[in-house]
Amino acid sequence: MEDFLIGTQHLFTDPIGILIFVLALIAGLVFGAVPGLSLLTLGAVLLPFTAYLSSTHAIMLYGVIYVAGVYGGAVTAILFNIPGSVENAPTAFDGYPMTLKGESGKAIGYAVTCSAFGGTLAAIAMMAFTGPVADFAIRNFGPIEIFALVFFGLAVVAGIGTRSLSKGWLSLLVGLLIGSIGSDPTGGIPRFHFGTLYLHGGVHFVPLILGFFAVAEVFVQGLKLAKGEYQSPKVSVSYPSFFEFWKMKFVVVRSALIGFFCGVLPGIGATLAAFMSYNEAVRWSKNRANFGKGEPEGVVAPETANNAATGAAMIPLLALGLPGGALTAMMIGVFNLHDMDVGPLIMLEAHDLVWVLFASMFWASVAILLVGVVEAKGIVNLLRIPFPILAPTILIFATIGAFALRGNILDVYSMFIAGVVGFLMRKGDYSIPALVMGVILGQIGEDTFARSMVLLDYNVFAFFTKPISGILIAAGLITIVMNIIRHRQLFGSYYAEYKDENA
Amino acid sequence: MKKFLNNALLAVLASAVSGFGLIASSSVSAAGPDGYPNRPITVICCYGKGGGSDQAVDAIVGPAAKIMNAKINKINITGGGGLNCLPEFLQAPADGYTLLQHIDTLPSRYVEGRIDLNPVTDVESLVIMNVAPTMLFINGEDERFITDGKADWDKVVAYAKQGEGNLTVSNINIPMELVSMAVVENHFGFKAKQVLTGKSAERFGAVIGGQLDVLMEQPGDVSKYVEAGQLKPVLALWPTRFDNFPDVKALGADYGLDWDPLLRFRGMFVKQGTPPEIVEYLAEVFAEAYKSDEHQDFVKRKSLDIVDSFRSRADTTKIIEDSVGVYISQFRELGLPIREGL
Repeated sequence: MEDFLIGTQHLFTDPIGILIFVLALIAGLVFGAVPGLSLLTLGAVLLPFTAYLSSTHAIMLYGVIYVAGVYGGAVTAILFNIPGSVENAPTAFDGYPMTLKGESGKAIGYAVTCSAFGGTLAAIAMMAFTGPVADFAIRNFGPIEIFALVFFGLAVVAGIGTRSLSKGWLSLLVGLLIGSIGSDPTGGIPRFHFGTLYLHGGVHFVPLILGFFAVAEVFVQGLKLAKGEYQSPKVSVSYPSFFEFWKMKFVVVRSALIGFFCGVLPGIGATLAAFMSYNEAVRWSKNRANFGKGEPEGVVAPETANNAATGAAMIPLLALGLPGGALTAMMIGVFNLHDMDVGPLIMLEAHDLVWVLFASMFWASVAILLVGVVEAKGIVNLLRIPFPILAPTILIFATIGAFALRGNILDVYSMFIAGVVGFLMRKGDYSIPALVMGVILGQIGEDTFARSMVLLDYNVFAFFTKPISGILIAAGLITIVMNIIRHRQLFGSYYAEYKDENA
Repeated sequence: MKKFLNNALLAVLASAVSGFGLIASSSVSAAGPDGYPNRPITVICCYGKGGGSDQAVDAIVGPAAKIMNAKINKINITGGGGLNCLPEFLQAPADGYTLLQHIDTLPSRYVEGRIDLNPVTDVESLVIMNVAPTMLFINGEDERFITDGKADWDKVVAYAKQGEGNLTVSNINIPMELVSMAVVENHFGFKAKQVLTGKSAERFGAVIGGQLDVLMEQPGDVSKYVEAGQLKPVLALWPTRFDNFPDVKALGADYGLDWDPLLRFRGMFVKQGTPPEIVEYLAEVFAEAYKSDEHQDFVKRKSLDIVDSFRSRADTTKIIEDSVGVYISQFRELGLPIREGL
């Protein structure tokens, strides 16, 4: 506690520190919210300039933009179906339908509050348990356990975002197939590259998400405009009531735990956290049939989890020097620029600096709540921008974002192809969430499966010989069976009706 | 605020003075042949921001830009294990305004047949600014492989020989490392189980967390874990022991393996066809930049001074040519596929 107070004192008694804190908070919110200009773009742009800041200011800057950026991406996911970054993609699954129903204010309210809650909780846990949690994760979670975790996550995906289980499975499998483009993770054998070097690296999921969400949405709304059926989403500034928040308590606690846990795993980060928590929200919800149609739990779960993962990702980063994602990898670069190496000695070598980082991330989460409540009332007015202005703006930002990711023109092509495919999929009632999750979790899953097979002597049943993986795989299999049974019960009649309507 | 402005002013002045000092003390002229460079130069870095290659580029590009009094922009084109950047490089004109930073995968992937860019005939080497030897490491608390507090390679070998695949190795899917491990296996007569991943966090974490037995890595990249006692070097894949690790046995000196170790290197290249005077000028500039205090600090910080980390243009060209031959023979010996016609 004393360390935290000293860190807070350092932060708020230094005018330059306060200035950087505020600017980082605003920049994180803006870059997180503008599709394509993700917090990674901001992090990359700022990296060389951090050499001119003191080490404390530089590290604090990255901690704050990380927290703010992860929240910022939720805004456009909710208002325009355009996730600001990958970890906000599941937020769009239900956030945007809420906007279409005239509940944009509530959706943003949930996102603000839960992001702040998840981030604050993780910051507290980060301060309390950095050492032991990192130690547990690194000793007990290897490729075998992570693959089992991914399998568990994929098991529920097929039922989301469509009324037809077969179309859900088909979407998921196509996603897994797309995720397998590029060099295979073990042997490095190139697959599906059609003779071009561009595809050796695979199709990155960021342009796919921009395409499936942003571009496809522009096409869908553009078609409506052409047909004279376009209606602007209703602007609503109503904030969720305390009672509505209270109903979410289990979702919030569960998602915070998932987020924290995924964030701690080296190399996994906030993306898996958001998708896994969304899956679990679907799995445990009483309103399962409402997911994909504007279920508030579908906003609460990923937004709590992805912000919880930000604090958790600091644990392996600081304790072991192992980054949880791209931004935390950049933070290693910032430490190096200031002649410091993250890792087991950092708490001794740069004790005060680490506590300023902890304090800044804690206060950034709290600030999101304050800024976000005000922002939620105002930002929904973005919906008043006329579509003929909004659509090309979205396409320009999405194109810049896709190219800026790694300077590869293929990513822009991928984005537009994904936009067309996403448009057709929506027309055909296929599941975009299942496809996107197939790509993301599939890439993690294939890599960990390949390494698991080496360790398990290519015996798939050996997953059951290890307690954690055995439980997770068994739970995944049970989920698939339950999914089939529940889906038949819930959607059997709807789908028959749907088929009749479209006959 | 006043303090900040003063600091900012000092920083600007210090940068200007150090830049002037660098130019003044440099033996290379700021103006190149025929007024080159008269516009910004682009360096293509084929690996991600914040990673080892990215940091290496930053460390040398800063002093190089000061020497030339020119702007150098860096772009990171990642993916494909460092291959996705090549089309961008190949499409650029051979005018010395587009430079490529790449590593030893350039010759190895060519020999493998993964890329058509011939590193001997299609590029001009400028310099190598990082050379890193490879070592094997064990978990610092793994008592199975420790004798009197020191990592004991003989114990590792004994354990590995108890059964095929008994020993697990955390490695990366790059030919340099794979060939090096195969050489170790053949020499000591065991077969390890290699778990490959390009993510360094997971690669290091697997051994630090006790899930795998041995890590193959360059010492500079894991120095902090070694200092903290979480990893212990157990074998140097080098003809002699290193001064920094006098207790760690070496493949050549201690186990009699007569083998030229493969090198992890990071170098700068331009396209074949670039005017020769510009190639020579750039090579001189980067050689000078290597010697700068700014770059030498980086070399020391990353433990890249364990061996001489710099190779001149002539040496780099020879290393690239030799590497192609070495990989051909090593791939043949190990029964790995080789591109047709080699």
